[in-house]
Amino acid sequence: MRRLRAPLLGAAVAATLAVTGCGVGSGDSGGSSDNMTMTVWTTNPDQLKLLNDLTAEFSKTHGGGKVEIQSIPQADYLTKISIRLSGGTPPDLGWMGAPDAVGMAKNGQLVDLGPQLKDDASYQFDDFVPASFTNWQSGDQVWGVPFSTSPFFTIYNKDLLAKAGAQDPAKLAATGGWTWQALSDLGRKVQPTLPTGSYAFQSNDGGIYGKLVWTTLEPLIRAYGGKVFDPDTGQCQLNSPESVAAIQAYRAMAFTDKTAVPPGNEADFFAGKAAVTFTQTSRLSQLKGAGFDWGVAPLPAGPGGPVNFTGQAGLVAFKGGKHEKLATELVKYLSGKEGTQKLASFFPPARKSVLAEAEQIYAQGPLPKDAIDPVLVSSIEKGYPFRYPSAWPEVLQTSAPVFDKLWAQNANAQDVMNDLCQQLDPLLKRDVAGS
Amino acid sequence: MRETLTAYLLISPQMLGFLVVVLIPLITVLVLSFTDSNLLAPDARSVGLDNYQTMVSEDPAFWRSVVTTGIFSAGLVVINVVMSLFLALVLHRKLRGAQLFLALAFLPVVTSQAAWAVVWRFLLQGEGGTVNSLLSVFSISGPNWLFEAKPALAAVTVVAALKTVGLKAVIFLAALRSIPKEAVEAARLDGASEWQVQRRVILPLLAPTTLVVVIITLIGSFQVFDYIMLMTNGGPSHATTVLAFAIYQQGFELMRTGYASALAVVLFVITLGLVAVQWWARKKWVHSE
Repeated sequence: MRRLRAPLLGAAVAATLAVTGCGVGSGDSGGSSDNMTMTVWTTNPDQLKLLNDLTAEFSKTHGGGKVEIQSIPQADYLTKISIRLSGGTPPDLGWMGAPDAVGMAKNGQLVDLGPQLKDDASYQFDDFVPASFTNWQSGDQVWGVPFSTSPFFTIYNKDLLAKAGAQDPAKLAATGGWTWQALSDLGRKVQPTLPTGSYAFQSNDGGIYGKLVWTTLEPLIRAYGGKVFDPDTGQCQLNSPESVAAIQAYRAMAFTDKTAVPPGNEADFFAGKAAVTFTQTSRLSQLKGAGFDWGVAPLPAGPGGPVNFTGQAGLVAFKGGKHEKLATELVKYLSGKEGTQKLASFFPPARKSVLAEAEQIYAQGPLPKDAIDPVLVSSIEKGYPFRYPSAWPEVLQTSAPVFDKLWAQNANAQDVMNDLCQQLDPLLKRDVAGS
Repeated sequence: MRETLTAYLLISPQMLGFLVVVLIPLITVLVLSFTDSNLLAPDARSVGLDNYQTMVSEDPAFWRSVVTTGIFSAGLVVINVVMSLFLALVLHRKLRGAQLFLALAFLPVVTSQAAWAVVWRFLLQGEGGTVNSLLSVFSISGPNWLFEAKPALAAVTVVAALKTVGLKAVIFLAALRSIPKEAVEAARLDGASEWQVQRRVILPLLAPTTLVVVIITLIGSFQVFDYIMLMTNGGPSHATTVLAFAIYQQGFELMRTGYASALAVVLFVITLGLVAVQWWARKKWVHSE
C-alpha cells in the first residue's frame, strides 16, 4: 500500500503545487542532488542571512553541496513537512516545534542524534541545561537539539500601572511578592482606570480561550503547586485540588472581577489595550514605536512557589533524507558552542556556557539590561518546558470542546476538569511503558 | 481527421488542467479513503471500508457535523436567497439611490473572506462588541455570540450569508431585467394585483435563476471553511464544526489523511446527491427554461 500511496500523494501534491505555483520552499528547491535542504519557518531576512552564512561555512569545512534554506510559513509547516515525509522526499534537516517533534520521534521519522552528540567530547553535550531536553530525548536517544529555549515572562504597561497607582511587578518580583494574588489585586486596582474595551490582564497572545490554552494554563497550574499530568503514570492531574484552585483563580479574574479579557473579547497588550500580559522575547519586536513605556518581570509565583517556563523549537534531521549523516553533522555544527553563540542573538540558548555571556549578547536588547539575568537567564536555567505527550494532536482535539465548557460563565471548574481528565487519561497513558 | 486532431489539440490544455487538478486528486482521495493513511505514521495499510464503517457507527462527531452542516446550509440558503431576491425586487423598481444601495450591498462581495470574518469577530465580541452595544440601546442583553453554541452557529451562518447577498442580488436583477415586459403588462391588463404579478408571473419566470442560485449557494455552503476557522475554530464545543471543517481537523490537525479522505468522499457524494435531486426537481417547479 505504501508503494501505492507515495506516488499518489506525490502526484497530487506536485500537481497542486505546480498549478498553484506555491512550492514548499523559497528559491530553487529542485537543486542538485548534492545540495542539502534545511527547512525553517522564519521569514526574517536577518535570521535567514545568518543561517545562510553559517551553512555556507559548514559546506566549506565539511564538504557536500550547498545547503538550501527553505522558508515555509509556520501555519503550514507541519503539514508540508509531513507530506514530504510521507511522499519519501523529506528535507535533510529543519526546525521543529517541540509538540510536533515528539510525535515524529515516536513514529520513527527523526534521526537519533544521540551517539554523534554524546560521543564527541568537543560537542559538550553536558553544557546544555538538562531540562531543555525534556521533549527531545528518550533514554539514550536524542531526537533533536533545542536551538531556541524561549522563556515566558510578564510584560507590563508602566504608564497604565502608574496611572492607577499600582505597584511595579518587577519591584514586587525582586522581593518575592509578584504572585497570582498580586496580579489579581493589581487587576482590581487598574481596571477601573481603563477605558471600555481595555483590560488589566491579557493571557499570552490572548490564547487561553483557544489553541494556546495549554501553554497559558501550565505556568498558572504550576504556580498553585499542580501539574497538567504525571509523565510517569500518564495520569491527568488537571482535576487535582491545586489545578482546580488555579483555574478558579483565573475564572475569578475573567468572570467575577472582570479584570482579565473575558471569552469572546479581544484586547491586545501590544496595542495598549491591556496593562499586563505574558510573552516571549520574539514578540518584543511588536513594541517598536509603542506609545507607552514598558517593563518586564518573571512569571507570577503562587502557593506552589516560583515558576520558570520555556517554549522550545529544535533542530532535527529527518529520516529518509538524502544526506542523513551530513545533516546530523550540520545539526551538530549549528548547535555546537560556536553555532549557538552566533544564533543566540535571535534565539535564546540552552547552553550554560553561552548563557554566561548573555549580558554581552543581549546588550542591544531586546530585553532591558536589568531583566537579562533575573528574567531570561534565570528562567532558562531553572525552567522547564511543557512536556508534550506523543498523542498531542489528539489531546488538542479532545480537549478543545471541553475547555470551551470551562469558559462558560456558570461552569463548574471541578466537574469540567473531571470530565477532561476522564477523556485524556487513555491518550496520556500511551507514553507510559507497559500501557 | 486533421480537424479532429486540431480540436483535440485545442482542448488538450483544458483537459490536462482538468486531469492534473481535478481528476488525479479526486481519485487519490478515493483511494486514500480505503487506507489508514496518517501523515505522521510511516506506513499505510488498506483497510477496506473500515473508515466508512467507523464514520457511520462509531464516530458521533461525524453525525454531529452532518447535522451542523445541514442547519448551516439550510440557514445560509434561505437567508441568502430570500435577502438577495428581496433586494433585487426592490432595486428593480428603479427607486432614487437604488444604484448606490446596490453598490453598498455589493461591497462585501469584493472584500476578502478573511477580512470579513475577522471584522465580524470583533463586531460580535461578548462585552462591548458593536452588535451587543446596539442591542443594549433597545435594552436587549446580547449573548456572547461566538462563545455560546446556538448563537455561534447562527452568527456564522448570517455572516456567511450576508457576504454574498450583493452578488446574488445582481444575478436576480439581471434575470428580472430579462423578463418580457409584455408578460407583466398582460397580467396587469387582466386585472392582477401587484402581489399577484409578483407571485404568479415574476417569481415563476425567475425560477431557473432561483434554481441556479440555490444550487451554487448550497454547494458553497457545504464547502464553508474560512468563517469557521477564523470566527469559532469549530467551537464552542463542536457547535460550528461543519463537515468541511471536520475534514480539515482530521486531515491537518490529526494528520489522519485516510479518514479525512473518507469524510471528503462522503461530503462529495452528499453534495452530488443534493444537486442531482434539485436538478431532477426542477422539472416540477421550473416551467420556463
